[in-house]
Amino acid sequence: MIRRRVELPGGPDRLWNELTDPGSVSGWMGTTVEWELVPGAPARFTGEDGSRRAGLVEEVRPGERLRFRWWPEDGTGHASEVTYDLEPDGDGTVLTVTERPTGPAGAAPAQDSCSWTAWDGRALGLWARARVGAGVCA
Amino acid sequence: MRLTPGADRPDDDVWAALADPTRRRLLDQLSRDGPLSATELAPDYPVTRQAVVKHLAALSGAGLLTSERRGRDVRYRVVPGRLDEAAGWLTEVGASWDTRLEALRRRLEEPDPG
Repeated sequence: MIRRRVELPGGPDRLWNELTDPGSVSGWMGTTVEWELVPGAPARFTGEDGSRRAGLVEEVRPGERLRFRWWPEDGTGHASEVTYDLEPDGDGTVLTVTERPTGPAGAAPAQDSCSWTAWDGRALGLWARARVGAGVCA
Repeated sequence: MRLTPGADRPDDDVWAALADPTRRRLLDQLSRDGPLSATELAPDYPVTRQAVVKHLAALSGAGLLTSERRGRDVRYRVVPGRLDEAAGWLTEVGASWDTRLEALRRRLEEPDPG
């Protein structure tokens, strides 16, 4: 798991907009994003190098927290979960970014489905069981 | 639902094994003090010896530990290099966020257009 904590100028509302508005995200993230800020909604990220990731919005608390999963669309590498936590701090805002791997990219849920019934816990191992237990799409 | 069983890619087992805090602690301790047996390890953990044995089996299954029998004891030691892939992920993802957050800071240091 990686974690970065940074103090940024401006209030949480402005930072939230930078973190979530597709027109702003492409200005700093090195990727474009298409998403609707609703838990369970699919997301798609396209990197400057053309690499594509699919994703899933998990938690949306405007001005406080955004959590999503993303994984390479070609099924290689790892799926991971990213959390932004925002805390007002004087004139600025403290942003904490956490990213943790959640398992093989190929085991990520298809973005058009939020059904966990097809999951094979034995095949996917502990991570999958942890995810089913978390009930992301409940 | 598109599924690719994780067992096809051995490195995925590493992440599964590392998912549990007890297993991370065991790995840490064994890399420092190993080789050790489950009996030697168990008193330091708030779980049963049987649970420690299960965690050691999961770590072994992921290729993170090797074991050797000595008398009645099975002693475990860390396999060097097996964590490199996980370490590579941490380095790569960490560097990506450093770059992104620096760019984000530059944007926020501009006057708010709105």
